[in-house]
Amino acid sequence: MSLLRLNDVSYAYGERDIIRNATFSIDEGEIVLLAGGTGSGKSTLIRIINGLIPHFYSGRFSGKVIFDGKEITQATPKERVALGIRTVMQFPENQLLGQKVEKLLKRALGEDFEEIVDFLELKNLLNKRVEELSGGEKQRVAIAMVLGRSPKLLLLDEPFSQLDVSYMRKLIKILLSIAKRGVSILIAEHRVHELALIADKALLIVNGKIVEGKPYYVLSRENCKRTGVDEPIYFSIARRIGMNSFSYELLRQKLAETKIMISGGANNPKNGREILRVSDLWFWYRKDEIVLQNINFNLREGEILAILGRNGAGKTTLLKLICGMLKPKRGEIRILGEKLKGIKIASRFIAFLPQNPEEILFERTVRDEISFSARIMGKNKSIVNEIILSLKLEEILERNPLTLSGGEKFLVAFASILVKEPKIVILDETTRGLDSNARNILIRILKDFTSKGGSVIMATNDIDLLAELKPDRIIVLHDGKIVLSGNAREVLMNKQLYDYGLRIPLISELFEGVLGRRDILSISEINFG
Amino acid sequence: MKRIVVLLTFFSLFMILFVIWNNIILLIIAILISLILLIIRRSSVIKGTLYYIFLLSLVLIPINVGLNYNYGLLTAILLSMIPLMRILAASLIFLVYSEYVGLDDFLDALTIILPKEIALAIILAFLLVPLMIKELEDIYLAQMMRCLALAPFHKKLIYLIRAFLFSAVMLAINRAIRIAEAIELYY
Repeated sequence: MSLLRLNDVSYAYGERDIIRNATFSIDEGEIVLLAGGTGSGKSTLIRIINGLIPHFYSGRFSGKVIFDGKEITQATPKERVALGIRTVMQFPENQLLGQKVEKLLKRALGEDFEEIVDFLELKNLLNKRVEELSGGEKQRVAIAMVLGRSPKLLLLDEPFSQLDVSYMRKLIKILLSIAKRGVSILIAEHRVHELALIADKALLIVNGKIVEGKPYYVLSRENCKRTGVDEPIYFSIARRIGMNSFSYELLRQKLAETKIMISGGANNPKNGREILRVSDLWFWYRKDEIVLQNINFNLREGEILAILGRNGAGKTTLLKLICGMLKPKRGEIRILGEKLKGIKIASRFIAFLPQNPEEILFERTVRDEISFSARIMGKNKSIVNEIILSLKLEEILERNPLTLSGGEKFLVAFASILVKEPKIVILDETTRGLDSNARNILIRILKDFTSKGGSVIMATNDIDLLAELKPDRIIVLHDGKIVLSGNAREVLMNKQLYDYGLRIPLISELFEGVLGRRDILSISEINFG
Repeated sequence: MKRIVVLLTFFSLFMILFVIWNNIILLIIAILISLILLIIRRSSVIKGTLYYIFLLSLVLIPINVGLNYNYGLLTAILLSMIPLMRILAASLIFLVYSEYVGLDDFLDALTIILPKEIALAIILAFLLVPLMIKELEDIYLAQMMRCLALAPFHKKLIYLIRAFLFSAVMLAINRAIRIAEAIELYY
């Protein structure tokens, strides 16, 4: 039976039609994947269902929302919560208004407190304060908060954007068990590889219109390319071996019968001069909680070094030390032989892009943004023009940076830090929140930058991106220690990754599971006979 | 705890009103409430905080009485209560930030006393700063590494302030909307 139905729903804000004539339904206990590129209207559709549109946001709204057989178009957000429509927001800390987890949950869950705490295994978090929780823990607490008092429909807005891969899998298991209790779940997400396997249905937003159907048909190669959504890896392989319909078992069976040729090889090690050396580095905020211990590695010209690790493994702290923002408690960092003593020395060689690159954009036009560093440092304008041409930014030069798409903002931010001609570019989880089009841009410009002798250090937990990018070296951080290091193939195919809360790339998992092959790292390496 | 927060919030608002209008009746009410608070003193932290405020006011009041003596003794005593009022009003902020009073309790208390929109504005002001610290740190690091660490001091200062103001305003608006959404749904 249909639990939720949207009839001819449209929403426009200003000049822009965000959702156009959306008509679809969600059945009881169904898991529905809502996919779409950055800024496509996924969050808007969630707000239409939970009532924030039209009650909290202005704009032109039309159409009907029917829930559990009753029209609720005029129901306020709180009335909809009472009816059983619960939302987990993209950044859960925004909805955890309080300090102690136990108090928050007791207030939200009432008599269901014990049951939900057991169900989501939250006992060890109860005495923590909200700001002490990791991204995954916050997400779990936020989900727990909305599970009290019989929810009927859960709306999750990009629940994976703050999570590392191991927690992503835990969350998928949690969602499956919630759906088994008869709760319907709508998940808005652009990282769809694993969700596409468990979803009963997919909704894809294409230019404001909703395409509805089985995930295999909705997330077609063409639709994914148009919208910037990742084509789910399993679907991509299934199409390449000619499957007209999809099931995971059928895919395994067909793959076992298909001849497969591998065209990938190992990256040649870079022999450029050593540009950065980190020796016996230790860091702690409090002596009884060591954040980093005995860290040793180097970086050569033209190399991409990835620092892989779960949330809280110490990646960001290591980057801050390399940027000179923190001082090592023991050990040293040398850049081109010079001992790093603070941010000023680091800044001569290093540029840094934060998790959200738009945070550094503050000028009125793209042109001003890119020439900012040149103005400050008294550099020649020719370097600015060169960067604009090489990154193909000519068409957006007069636009305000904040009005650009996610990929364009990334490009502008990257261009703006290239002006000072850094030797090393550091990216801190910069791939989070980027759709597939933007990620392709990232891969292209990183390879371009390193081909000209630049070096890159990127902290990430996006294993599938690393499998595609194939950095020259990867170090794996776990509890502040380097536990694995080597080239992309050595590290990403290492089963020990599971011990550190990570995994091997999805494609490697699939081919190892089906064919016992341990030599396939990315989809681009496979040819089907 | 909730009762104490409600009382403290009431009290703080009375203090502010008193400071604005210098009204003797409100002062008496405020003193009565503070006495009630001292009597309740369920939590040792609240008790400790209130004793601290009490001791501080004991030091401040004679000094202020002396300073205002030329207005006459009674007026001088009343005027000297003003710093005490301010300390008490500030004590609520101290209690919220030091996590002894939950923000949800604070929101409850505010919505009992004030219209929802004003309560929302106050709670947002409380929430935004701690939530934005990591992002502001990122902005500082990114701008310094972009070029400002190498810039002359005056340029560094001007552009850091400009970048911070712009980014902080954008972040604050964004955060405030998201928090307001959550409050609209669940609080």
